Amino acid sequence: MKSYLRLILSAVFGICLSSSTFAADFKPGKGVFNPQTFTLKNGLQVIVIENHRAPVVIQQIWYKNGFIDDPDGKSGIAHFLEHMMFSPDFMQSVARIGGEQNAFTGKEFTSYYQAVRIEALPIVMQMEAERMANLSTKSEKVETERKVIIEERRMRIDNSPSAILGEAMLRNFFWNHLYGRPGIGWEHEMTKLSQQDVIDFYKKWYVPNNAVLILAGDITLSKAKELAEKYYGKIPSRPINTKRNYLVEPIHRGVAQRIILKHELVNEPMIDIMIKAPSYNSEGKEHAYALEVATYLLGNGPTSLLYKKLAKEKRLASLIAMDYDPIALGPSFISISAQPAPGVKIEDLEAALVAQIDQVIKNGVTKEQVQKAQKRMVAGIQYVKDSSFGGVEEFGRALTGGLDINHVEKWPDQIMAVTPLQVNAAIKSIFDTDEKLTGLLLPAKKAPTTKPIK
Amino acid sequence: MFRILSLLTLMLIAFDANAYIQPKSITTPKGIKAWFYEDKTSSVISMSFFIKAGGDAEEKGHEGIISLMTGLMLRGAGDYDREAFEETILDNAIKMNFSNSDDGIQGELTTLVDNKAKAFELMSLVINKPRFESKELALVRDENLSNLANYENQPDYIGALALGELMYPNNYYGHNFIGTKQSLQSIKLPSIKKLHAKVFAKDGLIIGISGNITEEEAIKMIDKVFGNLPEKSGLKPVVEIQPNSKATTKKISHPAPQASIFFAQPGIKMTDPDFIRASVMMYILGSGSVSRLNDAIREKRGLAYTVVAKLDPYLYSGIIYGNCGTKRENATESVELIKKEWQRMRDSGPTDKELEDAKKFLIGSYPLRFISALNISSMLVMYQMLGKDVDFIKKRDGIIQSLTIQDIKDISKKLLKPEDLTFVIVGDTGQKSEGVEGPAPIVSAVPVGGQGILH
Repeated sequence: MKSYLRLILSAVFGICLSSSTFAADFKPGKGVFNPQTFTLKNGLQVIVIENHRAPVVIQQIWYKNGFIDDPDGKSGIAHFLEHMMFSPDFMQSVARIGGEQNAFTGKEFTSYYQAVRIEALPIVMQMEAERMANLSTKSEKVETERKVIIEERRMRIDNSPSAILGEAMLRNFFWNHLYGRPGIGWEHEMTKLSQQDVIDFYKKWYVPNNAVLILAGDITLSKAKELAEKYYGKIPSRPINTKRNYLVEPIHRGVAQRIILKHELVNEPMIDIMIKAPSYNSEGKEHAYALEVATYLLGNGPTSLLYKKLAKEKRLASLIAMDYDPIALGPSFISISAQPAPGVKIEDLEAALVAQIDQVIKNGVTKEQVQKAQKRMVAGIQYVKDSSFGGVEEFGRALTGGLDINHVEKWPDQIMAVTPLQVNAAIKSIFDTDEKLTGLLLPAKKAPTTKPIK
Repeated sequence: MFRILSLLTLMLIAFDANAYIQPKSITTPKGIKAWFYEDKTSSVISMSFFIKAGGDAEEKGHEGIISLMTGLMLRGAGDYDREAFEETILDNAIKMNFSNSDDGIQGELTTLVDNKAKAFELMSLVINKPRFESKELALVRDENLSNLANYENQPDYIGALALGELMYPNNYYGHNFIGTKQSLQSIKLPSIKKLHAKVFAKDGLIIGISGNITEEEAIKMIDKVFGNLPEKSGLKPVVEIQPNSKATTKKISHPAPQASIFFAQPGIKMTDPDFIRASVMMYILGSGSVSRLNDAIREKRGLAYTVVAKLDPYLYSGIIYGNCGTKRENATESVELIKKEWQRMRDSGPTDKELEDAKKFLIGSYPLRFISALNISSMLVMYQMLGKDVDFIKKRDGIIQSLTIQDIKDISKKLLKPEDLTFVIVGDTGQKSEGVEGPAPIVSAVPVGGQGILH
């Protein structure tokens, strides 16, 4: 089970519903995807991942800005701009060459892709370069598209009790940091986003020196160089202020928080506990790899420790999972979510969950558990590589998350190098804290009113 | 834009049908047919399969039994108890998955070449020797009950169930294969074992296998997994059924601020000779990213984030199905626009340009369906379900290219019946229901799955 919180934060808002996902597993040894890279004079970094199994290629451009860059009072503008980058002509032209397309806005990136036959690559590169250099927005389109993003908000958040709770939890978990802001925006601010806001945000961020272009599939380095130079090379760079002074979360001084939503549409309660944790870039980052191993062995899948103890043995939970994403410029968090088994009280599950984690803090995990987790985490890189487009997501997220190519290429080695001692130290340092935020999703007393209208 | 277009015309001519994979039809010594494609560049092997389990497989009162059964099959088989099974799967990086729809069960096995022996051994145990332990049934039941509780109040679940019930009253295509609280609680182990013995047979089986595996080995592995199954399924033959064509609008009160609109009319079954023509027509009307419905409802008016309509074909029936989410106050306007676009396509068909654009997308994007071993094996199963022959992949672009505007106009006239569209609107619109007033939407169908567009 994916934590609903995680779905909201790392969540990315696309123009369509479909998106491709890449499993994040790798194999140890000499690198993973063996990408090649070069940088154009205007600062655009290009990454090429050759994979010649099918005559197709994906172009994905990643801008190093996302919803935390929304100016105060204009939440949702990064995502609104992402929508405005698609004119009907653009959509039609990509469809006409048999291209699949979509776009995503994350907390620190905005990305756009087209997957096409290799013959059509020059056309989509020309089109993507064109909208990097020159976005034309029509005022009628601003009016209708703003309605569309508000419908998107209704669908993703307002219609879903778990999403409403998740939004409130994030806002309270981060006291100052803009990670706590909803990426899709607050509705009252979204309704005021103007054409000028779109243009200002676009002009501020959409420059070649703030982007990474990834090409994966049936392409060679020399062809990629030729095409990138031809289409993107002529776009002038522009200095931008990438120094974000809002990346600071104050210390929480031992404050524990509890957020509760009672909702008439909830049948079965849920619990989600957030604990602050480092990203690969933030304070405490030396624990990041060890925490990845720890969260995997504690809360990933049916063989994980928490699932074994609380679902299989004690039958207190029907679902239980732990989630940790260390790719961020600022701080990150671990979330533990669980649903009680039928007939089990949420208080009993919560108490058992907390006791189980306390036990892990006290006794630690074993060498065997750690080694098993490490092996499984890095196994199966071939699955990612088996797809023509494998690696695009990994490099895009790393490079917009303050990391470099080596982070992806060396990830398996880093994971394998983690020692049981480090895992136990990380568990002690991160989990042994009062500064938790506990979210509870509970049924309301009133019965849901889902009946036919007379 | 003009420069792009002229480049395109040239490009289309340059496309080469030989660029596609050419699968082969194989038959094993134990009499099992499969489609096979060897790809030496891959380090993965993938086997997809489908097994018929429609009709009376889920008896009344036993809704949800198939998903309990497949859930249990992945929780211990042969000498492997649940723990050992899960540990072995993970240690060998094997992926196994079951999902089910109205017509049956889809299965997937994916393995790295290095671990193929273990992977096929485990799959064989799962199919032939599931342990079906009662303590595991209790756990799977808990999980499914929790999932059901999580779905139960969601507008999407409520709407899809109600639509299924209206399109297929008292028919298995209209039943709820997720199950109900009562049905999930009443299902006992002997019924599950009995169902397993009935369903898993050679005659209802469709297999696609691809990746880095030779033909001889594929044959051996298929026989290892499926060769010892009985010849004939114990299920009653399924009869074809026409969905309800009486137009109804059902409004269901719901506190969600966004109304969820579901709509359908009778469609065609998977093996219908009109399948391709109808898919191209629906691409233009509602399933493409630049469809008429999308243009009228999202692009021009900003009424919805998603609006889609597509063929939803089954083995023995079919509907044209769509959905749209819009704020409550706009639900009526969206419904009217859907009806209007339906009528317009029926009356005059697509324009020449729309048909050309559709052909360009459907032909141009085709290679994107074959980018991994798993993609390929599932395509091989899908084409068999659609009743195509093994050369179809090679011929498919030519068939689409040869469609004329008259072909699409004919199919629009034949298929689209705006007057027959049934709507379910979940979300209180405060207006009276126009059609029949149904009972509370509890036990009915979820029209999911199916292949809406040409892949």
